Amino acid sequence: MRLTHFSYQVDFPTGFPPDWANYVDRWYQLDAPAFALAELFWLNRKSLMKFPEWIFLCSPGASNITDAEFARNPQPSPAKFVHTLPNIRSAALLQVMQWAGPVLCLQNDPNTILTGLREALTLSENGAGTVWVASVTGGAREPTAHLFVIDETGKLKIEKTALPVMANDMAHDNDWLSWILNKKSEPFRGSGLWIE
Amino acid sequence: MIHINSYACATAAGDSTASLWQELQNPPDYSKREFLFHGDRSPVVRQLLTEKLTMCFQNVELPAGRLGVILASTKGFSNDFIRDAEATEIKVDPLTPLLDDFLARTGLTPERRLCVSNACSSSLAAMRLAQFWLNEGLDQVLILAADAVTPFVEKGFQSLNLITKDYPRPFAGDRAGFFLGEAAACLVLSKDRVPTSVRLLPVGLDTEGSAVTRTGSSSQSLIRAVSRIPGVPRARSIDLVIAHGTGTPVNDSTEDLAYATLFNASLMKPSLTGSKWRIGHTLAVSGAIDTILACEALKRNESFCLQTTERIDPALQCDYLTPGKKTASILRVLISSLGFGGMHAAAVIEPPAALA
Repeated sequence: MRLTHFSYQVDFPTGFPPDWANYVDRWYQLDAPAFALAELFWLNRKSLMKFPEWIFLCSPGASNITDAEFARNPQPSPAKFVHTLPNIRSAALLQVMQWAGPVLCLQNDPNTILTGLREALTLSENGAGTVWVASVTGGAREPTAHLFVIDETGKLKIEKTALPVMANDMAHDNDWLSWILNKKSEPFRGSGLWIE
Repeated sequence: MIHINSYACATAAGDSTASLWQELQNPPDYSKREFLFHGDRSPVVRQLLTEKLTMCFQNVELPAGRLGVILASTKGFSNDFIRDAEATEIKVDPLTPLLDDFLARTGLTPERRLCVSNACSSSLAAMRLAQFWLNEGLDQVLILAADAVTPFVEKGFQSLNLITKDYPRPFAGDRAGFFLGEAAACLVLSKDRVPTSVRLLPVGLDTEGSAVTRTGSSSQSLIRAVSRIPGVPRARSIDLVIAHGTGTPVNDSTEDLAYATLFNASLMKPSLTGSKWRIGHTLAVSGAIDTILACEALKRNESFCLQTTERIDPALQCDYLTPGKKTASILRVLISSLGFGGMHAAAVIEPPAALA
């Protein structure tokens, strides 16, 4: 098994159309997480040529930030409301990928991402092939998108293709990897910004 | 093989599966407008949904063994805190604490637990995850599904102009949307069989990545979801489809196009029906409710009609159960769920002794 981590932090809104604007109808209505995921894929598309059999979307805090923006707005926008479903942030990613397939949106705060990684590893181990875990952390102005690519080739190791944006993650790789591989349900006890 | 061994639900049609089935046999009395658990909204949503899930759980059989629990919901209890909290202070998703509350109240200690939020296809997506878990060694998985109609959700759907001003009439030519409904449900999935088991074939999922449902592309996505179910539609014929059937122009056209395409070559074409005309659109729970109704239809060898739909939209191609129409016999039922984000799901149930 191999786990490769891609990440990218976006200053949102960007103020100019993204390079992938032609792939996403009304891209300017996207919320920050949806924009960040699409941008991350686009920037790394040459390294992400092998598409997954499954995508797990794991969003710490679900769509709470977008929910709060929608609730505070006295004139509700239909486009904003659609983004209050936490699964919607994957829609732009799929359009930019030009891919369709099974997506599972998982929540298990404060271990949402780690649980998703564990589920994805288990599924891949059991013959599902390549599984991606997509996630967005951070606030509405500077969201960080993550793509973890899990494939079945080789011995389990972790690779990073971007500078780690999460403090401590190098130091704690072994901690969370151990937790992912442990099939029990105790919460993760280590530290790191994934555990928000 | 995975089986559905036990289930229970609470809807606007009552706190039991029997009452729901009974209510679906007759035209509704919309003057009551009973789509909510509590009209006064006095309990907070977190407490309300925990109570309803616990009540449903008391009506299912859950043998001892290695257990997984999955909660399916679109918004959980987000309405309880989203208006009062600064976004930066909100650290926890609005589903996981609801699952925590349920587990604390019931004393269950599952080996695996998760929440699934695949919009209105969440229940069927949760069943697919449960099938993975069972194949990986768990003895049974308890699926929980719950959603409430909160001011937040109402405001959103009103902004989308999807709420009908009179009454829902799925697949009618003059259909104009739905009412929102509240519901909770529990299903027990297991590899073991009990006398009342029905077999659940591997659930088909497909996501096409559009923000909202669009007839052309979404039909293709639903077709792909159905086609991921082994043997469907060729080796396994379908007698009854419990469609998502929201009663919006786009949703119903999408499903009709998908099923007309899928069953075009079938000698025996399925009849289509739905439940939302009576209990409203119960969002993430709708797939669970319709699966329960499919189990009942199979066991009773009976169906239920679209009681509020007098005339089917002439542009639609499939066979629909309008008032007075019945199916001949029911050996296999297909359930579909369509979700925003282009998240589509389909499940098929059949008797345990059917074609393996």
